[in-house]
Amino acid sequence: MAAALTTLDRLRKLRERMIARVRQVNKTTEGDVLSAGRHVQRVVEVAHHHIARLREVLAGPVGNEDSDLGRAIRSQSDHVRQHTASVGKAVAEHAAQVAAVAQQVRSITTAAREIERLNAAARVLSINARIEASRSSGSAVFGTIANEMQQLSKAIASANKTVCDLANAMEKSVPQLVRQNHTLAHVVEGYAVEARDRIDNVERRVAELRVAVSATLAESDNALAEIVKESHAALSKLQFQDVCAQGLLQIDGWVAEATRETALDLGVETDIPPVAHTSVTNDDVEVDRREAGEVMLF
Amino acid sequence: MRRKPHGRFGRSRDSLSLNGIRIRPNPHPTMKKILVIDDSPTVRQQVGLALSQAGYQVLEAVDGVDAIGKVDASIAMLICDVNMPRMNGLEMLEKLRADARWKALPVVMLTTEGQPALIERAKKAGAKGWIIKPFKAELLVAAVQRLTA
Repeated sequence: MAAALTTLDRLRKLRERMIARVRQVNKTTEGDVLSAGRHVQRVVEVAHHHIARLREVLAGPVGNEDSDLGRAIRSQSDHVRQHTASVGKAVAEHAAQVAAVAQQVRSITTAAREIERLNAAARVLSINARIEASRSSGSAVFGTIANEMQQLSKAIASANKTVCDLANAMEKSVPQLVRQNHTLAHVVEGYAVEARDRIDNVERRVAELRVAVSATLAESDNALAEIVKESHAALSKLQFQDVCAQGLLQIDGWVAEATRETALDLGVETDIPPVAHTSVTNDDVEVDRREAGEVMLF
Repeated sequence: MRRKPHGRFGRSRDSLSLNGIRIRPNPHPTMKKILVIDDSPTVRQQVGLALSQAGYQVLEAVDGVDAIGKVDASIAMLICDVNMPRMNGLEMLEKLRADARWKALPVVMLTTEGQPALIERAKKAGAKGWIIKPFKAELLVAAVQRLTA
């Protein structure tokens, strides 16, 4: 009887030591696994934060048509286009005015020729008056008319010469104005083409940048999904601790059962402390890796 | 034997989708509350991390007694271990269903146990699902998304 009680007492002490040791090991592994879980959480949090910041920075200025940068570029482009069109219109108006001036100069020249023709007729009339004066033995009337006509003709000739000189000078200036206008038009057109090219280039670059931003953000989303997926994989692996802890504590259940059976065999009544791991069944904690993770919905 | 042929989800380890449910970080968190009941702090943490990454708010209880005291109308779903001290998961489920307020509250058992008799008992008691540990986080999240949709 004494030997039996000693055996049962040894079994009880064995259980106490075993439970204490298992709990110590479980506590250590549990602490490490919780720490690993916190690291996993931190990785995901940092990734979330970083990608949210990336989205804020990239999507803000260029990510869409209504962004600040997009609006600024569009405004500047519109301004350059309007300015270029305005200068082009001014040059065209200038060309039209030069053409009108040229036409007016030609009219002046034509008018001067007509004046010259009329002056020639006046000179003829003056000569005729002088002839009539000589025929009428020096008629004072015809003599006076002849003198007045001659002076008028000279005055007209002098004025017409001034007009002709001016018309000639203007005829020489107009082609120069036309050349200058052509040069100006060429410069403006060159500037307009260059400005359009540059605007197109800027808009193309902005479009490329927008595509790149979109692609980068999509890559970031994929990276985040990958991080979360890997985090889930890590969480799945970290569950070994709970399975191990349950498995180790279940050994106590077996020893308790062996103690109860031994006491029965020896016919001894003894107080058997409750098992360390409570379970609805006495089945072994065995995880079939093929079925682990299986989800059944009813 | 751990065979339960009906209602099974796909088990692809690499898959991020489940029966058409795409698993991605939720950009607009629903903040639905999920009560996770397990005596293991590591399991509570791992379930909590998986669900919080998917946009759920996670509450914790350490056993059936603790859970009964924490269930309220704001809880959208329970994820419950079976083997726990004081009150195991099946007892908690049966007690919960005895209260008319919680008859429709979705409860999924998360356990290392896989015996058909236990699964059947849980099903009869009103469990909506049974997940065998160690769980796959993406499948767990998909199950929660389906049951709380």
